[in-house]
Amino acid sequence: MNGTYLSRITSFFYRACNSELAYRFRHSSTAIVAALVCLVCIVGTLLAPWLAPHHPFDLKTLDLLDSLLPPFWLQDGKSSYPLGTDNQGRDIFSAILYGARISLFVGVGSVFFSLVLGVILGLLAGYAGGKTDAFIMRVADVQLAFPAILIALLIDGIARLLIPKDAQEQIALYVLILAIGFSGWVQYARTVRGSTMVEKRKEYVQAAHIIGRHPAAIMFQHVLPNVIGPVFIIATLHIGTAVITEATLSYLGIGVPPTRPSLGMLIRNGNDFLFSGEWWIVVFPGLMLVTMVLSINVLGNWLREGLNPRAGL
Amino acid sequence: MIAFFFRRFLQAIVVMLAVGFIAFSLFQYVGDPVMIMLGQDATVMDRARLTRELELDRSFIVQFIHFVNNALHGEFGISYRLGRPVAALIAERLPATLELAGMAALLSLLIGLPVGVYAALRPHWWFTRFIMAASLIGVAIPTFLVGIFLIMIFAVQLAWLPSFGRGETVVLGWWTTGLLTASGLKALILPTITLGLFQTTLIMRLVRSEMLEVLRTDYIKFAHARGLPERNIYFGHALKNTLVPVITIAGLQLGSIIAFSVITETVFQWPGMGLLFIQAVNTADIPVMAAYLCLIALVFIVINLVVDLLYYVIDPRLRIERDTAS
Amino acid sequence: MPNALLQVSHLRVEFPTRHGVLTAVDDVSFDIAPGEVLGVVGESGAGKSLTGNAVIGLLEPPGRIAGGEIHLEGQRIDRLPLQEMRHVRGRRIGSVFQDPLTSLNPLYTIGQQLTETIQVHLGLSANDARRRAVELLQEVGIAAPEQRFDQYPHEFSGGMRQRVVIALALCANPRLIVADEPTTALDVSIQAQIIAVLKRLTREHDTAVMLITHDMGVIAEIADRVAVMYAGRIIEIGPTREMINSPRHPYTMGLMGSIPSIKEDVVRLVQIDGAMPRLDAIPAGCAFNPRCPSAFDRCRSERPPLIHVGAMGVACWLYDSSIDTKPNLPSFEPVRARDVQPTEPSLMNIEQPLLELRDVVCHYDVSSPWLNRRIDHRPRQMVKAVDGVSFALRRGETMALVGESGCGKSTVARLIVGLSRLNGGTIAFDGANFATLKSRADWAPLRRRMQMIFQDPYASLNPRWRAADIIAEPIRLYGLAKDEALQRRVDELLVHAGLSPRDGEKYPHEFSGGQRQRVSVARALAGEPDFLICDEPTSALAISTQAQILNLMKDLQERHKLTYLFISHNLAIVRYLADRVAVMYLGRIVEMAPTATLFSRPQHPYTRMLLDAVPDVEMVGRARMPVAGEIPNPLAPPSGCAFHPRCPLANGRCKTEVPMLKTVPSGSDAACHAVEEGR
Repeated sequence: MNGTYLSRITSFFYRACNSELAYRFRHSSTAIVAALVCLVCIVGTLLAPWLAPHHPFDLKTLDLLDSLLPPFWLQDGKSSYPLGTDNQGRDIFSAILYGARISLFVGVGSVFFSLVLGVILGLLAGYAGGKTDAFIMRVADVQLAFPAILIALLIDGIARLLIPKDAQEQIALYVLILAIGFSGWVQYARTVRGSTMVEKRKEYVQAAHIIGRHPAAIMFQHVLPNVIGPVFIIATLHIGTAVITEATLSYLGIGVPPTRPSLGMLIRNGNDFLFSGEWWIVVFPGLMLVTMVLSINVLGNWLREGLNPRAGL
Repeated sequence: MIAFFFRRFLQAIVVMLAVGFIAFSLFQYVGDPVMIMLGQDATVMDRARLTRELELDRSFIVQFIHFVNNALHGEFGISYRLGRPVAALIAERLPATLELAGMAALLSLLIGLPVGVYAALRPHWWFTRFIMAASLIGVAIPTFLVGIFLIMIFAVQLAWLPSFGRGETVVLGWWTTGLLTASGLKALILPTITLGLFQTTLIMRLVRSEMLEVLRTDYIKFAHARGLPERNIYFGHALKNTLVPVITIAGLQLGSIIAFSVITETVFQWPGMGLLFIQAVNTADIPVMAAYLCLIALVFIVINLVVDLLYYVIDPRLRIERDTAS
Repeated sequence: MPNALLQVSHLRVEFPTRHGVLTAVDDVSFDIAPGEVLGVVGESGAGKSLTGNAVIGLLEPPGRIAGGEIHLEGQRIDRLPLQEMRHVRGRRIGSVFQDPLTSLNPLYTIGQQLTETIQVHLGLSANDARRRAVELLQEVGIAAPEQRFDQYPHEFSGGMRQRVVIALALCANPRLIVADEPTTALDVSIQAQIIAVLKRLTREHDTAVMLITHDMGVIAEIADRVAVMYAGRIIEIGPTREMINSPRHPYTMGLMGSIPSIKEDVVRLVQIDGAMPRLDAIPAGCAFNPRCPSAFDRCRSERPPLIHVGAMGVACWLYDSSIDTKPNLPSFEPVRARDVQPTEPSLMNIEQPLLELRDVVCHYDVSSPWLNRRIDHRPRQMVKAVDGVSFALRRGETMALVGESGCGKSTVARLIVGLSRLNGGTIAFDGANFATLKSRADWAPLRRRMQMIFQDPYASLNPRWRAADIIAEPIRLYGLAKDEALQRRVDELLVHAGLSPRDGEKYPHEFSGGQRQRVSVARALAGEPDFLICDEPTSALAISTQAQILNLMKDLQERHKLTYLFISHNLAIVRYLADRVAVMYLGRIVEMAPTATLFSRPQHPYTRMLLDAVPDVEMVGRARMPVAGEIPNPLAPPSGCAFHPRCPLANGRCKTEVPMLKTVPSGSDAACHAVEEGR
């Protein structure tokens, strides 16, 4: 569609800032706090190479003499290692920053994959109906017979067996993204399919038919903008789930490779030291994970409740 | 009505076959069983013999049929890692997992349902707000982390409860239970909480949101307008209508408890099927993986069928002879 | 009023929002005497439902009663604690809501719901309660009440369900019933039945009724007094007959004039320009002043109180005898046919018809899946939505297809525009037979020449597109104009449809219902079509807006020389717009005639019953013979003539033989054995 793009974008932003949602955001302390925490986490992890005091995964910089140091406020702690070190002398704080980066990368990547796959399949199923719909839904049903984590486990496990060892490390992250992504497309597809089936019956779609537009044009230009809304909310909440799934898989040993550890992997390493009293190796990565996921969830939840039309004006 | 169940039953069989197919493909294409079982140094003749024994030289379809046949008889082959029949391994581990899953499911229902209902009925109560905030946190903590934190506090710091294993168990026929001994019960507590926490918060939020939906409907408004007492409206009309969708989703969630047991069993070294499965994945023990897959699928399908049955019984609208297929 | 049953004084209902406090009901006062039926009429958004909700104490938060008092039998009820209000509800005030589909709990049998209410209020034993419930069901006219007692709501039709709702409202013999749009969601013939039930029962039990509706015809039939609400205020209140025959307030006058008449020919309806103000934009002084042709200074500054004029109360400064210089009352009279010189006959070419349908058939397969059918031994089930329809449309003509829900008129429309597939018969547009059109390219030239306007103004426009883009879509597709020429054409179309060029930048949700329909009209005309199908374009609009759109359509037809196929269930609108009318019942045309002939000399029994069933504003208090029976299940249509179960003239032949359309001496075509045989 032509028209002055600039004016449209500015008017869009203007309306967005003045919208009901923006108003409620400004007045909701939970939303603001969650958004801030989220922002800090994301920015922190993105800028990890510049913010982290050490390079925890560069073997040359590690000093075994500094291993198992407690956080700096305890006895024996050093301020250069603010949250302590692990058994190999890696700085926990830096490890958390880098680890969170990996976790987020996998989390967002897999959600993106899920979203694209799910939306396209859902649109197709809802719009085409008939055999296409039946087929896609059958596949979805079969997949729903398994919980997501098992599917991710399976795909990852199988990939391990199929891919030669040396290639494994490089593409391990992408395999993980695919595994978690494949396990989660159904929720998008179902939602989009449902909405598509509703919109398909609406008169504006019929009007487009009568005008004579091509079905693909109708699907993408008319229907898609109207069904994509709930998808973003699902996606926001899904990021939390995806990050947790990745952490779980890594904890179980079937996730990221040890050379690019995520928060889950860090917790796995730290698990062994719980009983000997070096709790910080587990607790801090754990706290970081929970904080990140919690803030994303709170934000997503607030969005979902905010966009839900309520009684009244 | 019979038609309804027949269709669902047929669909279930189709899904099982599809799952069986995937499991079987694992056998075929992943790894080399002969190599794994005999090692690198086996002679050509040994390998040929084993190949014939395992029927690996027959065609795909034949092998698949044999596989299905064997599966129906409970025969899943021999574990590569442990060298014992898979079926026996699973039978050994099943009670542990089922007990744990059962207790966790019970916990989640007993707490989740009533709390969810009250959260919907009294939205501005301080307890409700507290519970809703807590549930948000509950959903954000991965299961394994819950387990680790619980261990840290109760097993390491306070030393009240054990951190691994099942404690003493009592053998009843082919079932072993930990419910009849003090140490068994103690060992059950932390894993149950770990496994059940996620489900509890899920059910709580689900019940609450469904109930809120129902409370907004016209027929509830009409019930108010007729002057019916609150008790009738909330615990009669509203609750009944809430339970219908809750049953479906809760049923499916309960099925996934069994899947999540994989994690809990790993954290607590609980000797159940989940731990067996993880070990199998880590060591490429295909027979165990395949068997576990089929079993999980079976469990889910059975739960789905039961839920559909229940739905049919409870919702009179489904009894009007119009089957809505997905 | 002394000894009033219900007394509402200076009621104010407010909604706090982030833009400030909105007053939805502003200083409303009225009384209802015991046994009286008070109608509260107004457009949607006028505040009538809120008033009803306030009376029964079920205002949805954040709305709240911010002022005034409500007294029931002398006792104040608007500030009662929750528990006591529960006793009032159901026992002393009964309620009937609009949608019978959602008013009943789907998981309980209607018997259970009835006995529960009876036991709560009357404290009867289970058996006694059951007996009373069955009695009630009998009273509201449900046949075989003993059996139906144990059935679930979804096993009842819409009309039956509403009867159950009325039974529930009457359970405890309340003194007052608040009925909020009780017939709006029902078909015309069923509406008549429900109104009859309400009328009979309230007379028998001496129950007062507060009847909230937007349909003046219903008011005319059942209400003793009526209050007209506008923007949250009562602007006129008084006896129904007087209000209808000589309305006082300019708004009411305009309203009466904008209702199309079923009894006489009107050339142009009265049109009140503009729309009712939104709650956040209510003008100072009299809320109606921006739209009133006789508004003067006082109207813009001070809100008029209810001034007594005879038995009526009118909130209008034009009736204030203390003011000397006032403008005259506006004359809101529709232009009647008898007052106007007949124009030249319209463009009725006798050459080839523009649209021709022959024996058109369309089936929907609603059978259960194959497996179910095998096991339960059930046959395939087809719904014959259209079962042999034939007619021809001439250029410049306006033809109407009338019928109730399920008669197939919408399906015919869909077949003509190619949205549904023909199962039998032929359709030809300007000579081009549809059977010869295979690909999209074949359809393309036809698509340009025929367009459609839909019923639902909210679903007809893509909520994410701007109005200008919506209108420009066909122009772009057909390559009619580009860039600046395109922009100019879009602006032109907007103006022709009664909007301004600036409106092109707006999104659909920024428009009112009537404005959205105008955008739809502009879109339909963008490709310069010859033929327009209008599928109930005004049913979802307020009455005053309806008149605007209908007048617009008439103007456009003249200007662009359009041919219309107008689909409606509202016979009065049909009389206003159409040259010829075809009445459909269960997929067949039962009568087809020029408009004047159909309305003056209806032949088919169904047509006669339909005409009778329309609530007519001019027949105040007239007792009607509502149409008997329900619309049959399309899956199991009656044999022979589909209408025979409800027809007073049915004989043996009607049960077995399907009647064909035959021409009758008066000029109509009717498909009826009785007509043929001269019965």
